Amino acid sequence: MGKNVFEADTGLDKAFLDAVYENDTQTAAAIFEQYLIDLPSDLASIHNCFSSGDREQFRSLIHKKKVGFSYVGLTAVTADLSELENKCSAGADLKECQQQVESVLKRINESTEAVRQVLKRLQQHEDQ
Amino acid sequence: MKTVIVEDENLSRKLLETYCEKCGLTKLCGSFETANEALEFLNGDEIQLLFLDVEMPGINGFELLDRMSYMPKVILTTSKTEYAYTAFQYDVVDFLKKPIQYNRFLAALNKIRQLNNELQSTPEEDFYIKSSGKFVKLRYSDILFIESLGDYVKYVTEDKAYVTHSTLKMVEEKMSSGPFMKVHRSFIVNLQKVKDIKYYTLAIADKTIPISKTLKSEVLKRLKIVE
Repeated sequence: MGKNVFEADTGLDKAFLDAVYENDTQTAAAIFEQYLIDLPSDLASIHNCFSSGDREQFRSLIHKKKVGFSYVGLTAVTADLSELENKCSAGADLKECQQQVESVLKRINESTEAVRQVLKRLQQHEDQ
Repeated sequence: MKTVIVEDENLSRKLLETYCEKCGLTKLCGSFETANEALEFLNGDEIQLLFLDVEMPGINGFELLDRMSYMPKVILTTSKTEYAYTAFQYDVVDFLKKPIQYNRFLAALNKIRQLNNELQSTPEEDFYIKSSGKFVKLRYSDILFIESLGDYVKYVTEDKAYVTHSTLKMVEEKMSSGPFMKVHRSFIVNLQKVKDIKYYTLAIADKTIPISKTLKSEVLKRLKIVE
């Protein structure tokens, strides 16, 4: 499955996706689909929570959300969010994190099309 | 193996559900987003295996374990390795770092299977002892405990006791695997028959048996009990 579906040119972490889903395209498709369903509200909640300025609430939210990005191959996003979480835990001022938060949100948005493409391939693979 | 998942992150929860279904070793009885939601279910229906997140809104994973009326085998799912020390104190079987990969999930389940086998297996089905001038057949699973009487040992079953010329050391060597464990210089017990433990004693049927101070932590570990 890996060679055909999780192509390296998508920018997603192919090695990680292969390790998680092995040859199970059905599970991969279900998780990718759920990710895309949850994404708009997840992005909105991250954005709104950051804007509210409540550092502990923001730390707790990104702690919860960060792992989900890895399940669609966005392991770098998980790493970025972990870094943000650690900064919050260390008592950083949220204002100082603004650029980093914007950069992560941008990266997530830019990767959405790749996630959609992989989902499409997974679904086509299922139909074959 | 009756299994429950408590995990607040949606995709991790769904993936664990799929893994449980796929592996064929677990019977998923419930999957919950918060510990609060899971608590009532867990205290109402005894399960064998719990996949448990630590950091969740409301009560956290460790607080959930504190509030449970029994201790299933626990596999923690978390993205933070700093919980490992506390996890050790709760005697969790394994620690899955999120994002969770399937081969790691299977490795954790194998640990559970090994533990179950260790606790359930018996060295042999039957064996003979010489008591009151004749050979008597006993089943390992019938034995509650064995008590040292100097140069003799007493095998105690639910309905009878048999005294034979032997030493506890010899018996211990013979019963080195399975559910038997030496808990005191004068006692080997069948861990599957232990009713309760209080301070430095344990109860099997109507008998109170002392536990050596040096052996207590090992006894609790074998019984999967949190101190």
